[in-house]
Amino acid sequence: MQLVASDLSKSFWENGAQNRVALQGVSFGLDPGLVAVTGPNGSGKSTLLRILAGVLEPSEGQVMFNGEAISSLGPSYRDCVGYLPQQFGFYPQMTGLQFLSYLGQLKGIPLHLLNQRCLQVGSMVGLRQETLTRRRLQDYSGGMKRRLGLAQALLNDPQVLILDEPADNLDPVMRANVFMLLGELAQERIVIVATHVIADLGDAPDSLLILEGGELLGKWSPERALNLVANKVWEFEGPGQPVAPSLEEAYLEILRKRRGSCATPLLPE
Amino acid sequence: MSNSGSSGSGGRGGSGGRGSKGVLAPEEFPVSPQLKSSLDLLAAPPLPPGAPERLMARMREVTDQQLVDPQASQAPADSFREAMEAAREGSPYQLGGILWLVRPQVRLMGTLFWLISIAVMAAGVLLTPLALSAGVWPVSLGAVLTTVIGLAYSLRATYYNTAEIELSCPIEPSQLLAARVFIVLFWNIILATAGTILTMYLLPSVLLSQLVLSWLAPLLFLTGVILWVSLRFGPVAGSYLGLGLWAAQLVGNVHLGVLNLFSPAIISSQGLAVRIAAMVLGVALSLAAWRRSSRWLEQGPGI
Repeated sequence: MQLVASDLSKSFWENGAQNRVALQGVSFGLDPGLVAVTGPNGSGKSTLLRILAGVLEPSEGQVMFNGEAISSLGPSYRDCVGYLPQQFGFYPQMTGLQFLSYLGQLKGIPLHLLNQRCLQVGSMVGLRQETLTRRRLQDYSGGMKRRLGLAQALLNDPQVLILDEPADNLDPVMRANVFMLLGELAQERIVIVATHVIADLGDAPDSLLILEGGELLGKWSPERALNLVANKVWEFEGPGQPVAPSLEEAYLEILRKRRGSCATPLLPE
Repeated sequence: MSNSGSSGSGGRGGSGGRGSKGVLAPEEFPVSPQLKSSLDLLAAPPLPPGAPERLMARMREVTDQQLVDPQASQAPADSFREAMEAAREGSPYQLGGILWLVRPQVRLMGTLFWLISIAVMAAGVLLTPLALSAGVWPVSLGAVLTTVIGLAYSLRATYYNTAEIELSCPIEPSQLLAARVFIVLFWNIILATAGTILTMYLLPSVLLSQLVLSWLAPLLFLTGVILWVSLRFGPVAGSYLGLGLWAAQLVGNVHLGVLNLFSPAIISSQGLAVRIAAMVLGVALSLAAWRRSSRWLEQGPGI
């Protein structure tokens, strides 16, 4: 299983001209595992994820899944995809189970499997059966809505799971549980997660994609990224001593090098 | 482990020094020579070369068989994917077809919509004999009104921001739009036909073609307008425009004597031509809107 992006670019129409460049020349290849996509606000993360999910066409370039262009695969590619947008809504009068059932039917899940599957994915994300069946979505908290969004992405047991800020609005314990679940799911799937909070990922990612200004700065393994800041992160408590750096510090170091001076260094060199 | 096998047995009493951890070394243990010679006979022989590796390999075979049984350890998600694909093979509703979209869209409309549309049509039938003298046919107005409301209601995905999730499903945008419009039109045509039959039973003098054209022409025309405007400017704009045109039609019929393009009273060739032109224009706008829906993927989800 492999997902390959080749020279992706995306521009949007504004003021009558195609002049807002969201992505430019992005290329990478992904194998099964957990991929973290990160970058500053407006760097093109959500646009990239939309293109990979097949809900947005690139202006240039293409995405290949197992050697075939997803533009030509069409619905059969999205049949293999589970997607959670960064911002999404619900039909407020529906219950959680009704919403999952509705989307499950759109995903082509046979009716005799649907109800059980909806309850199963709800359980995977920590939504109780009573919550799913009795409470209307307008009464859900932000965290419950987020978890329901994650549940709908898992409905069709996707081979490619694309999640934009899956841990938004979740408390620290639930955040850890979500990323633990994603780590397990990534054993046999391509799981792509966009997040601002790199610290949540811990040691889970198999690779790290960093975007800035619509450009891909690179693809790093956690080890390579951490090597960039090895012995450059210090904690002072009386006599200073080196501490194990984190991916977040590696991310800041990469940006600092890219920008030259503006990225926030932890300490001046 | 010492060959004497005396790992801690017999207590720690007695004289003699202790090891670094407070445990007697074997040579410090107070045993009689006879006991020691007996224990020496029980000493474990040294392992032949390669024996630990062979033992571990054998243990792995056993544990692999017992713990990694594909049937027992298969995650539910794996079996679900297989079950789903197997179930689809025998289904008449194949992925990519439109029929399997109809059921979830019917559910999306909700029971309240179906009941309200029946109530509006029933009111239209009952009021038509009373309003006929004013040149107004409520049954026709009701059919158009339920269509306008139904279309706007079915296209509320943008208003509720659910479009992106829906379009991430294995469907084409045009299929989703077609399913929603099909349901609303089909339902309203059925209702209006039933209302027409009842109205003709109440008013035998009314011509069937006259009555049918009085709702079919504005129904198709407004469908096209609402669809095209909704895809261009959003479903809220589409619904407001549709309701506005419906209200203008009512006012024109009752008060102004103009804008009575859809008045059932006009049965001249001019009126008939106008109605047919309105139907053709409505169908053309609907087709244009349906073709435009494929462009949602270029700029992001619209409806």
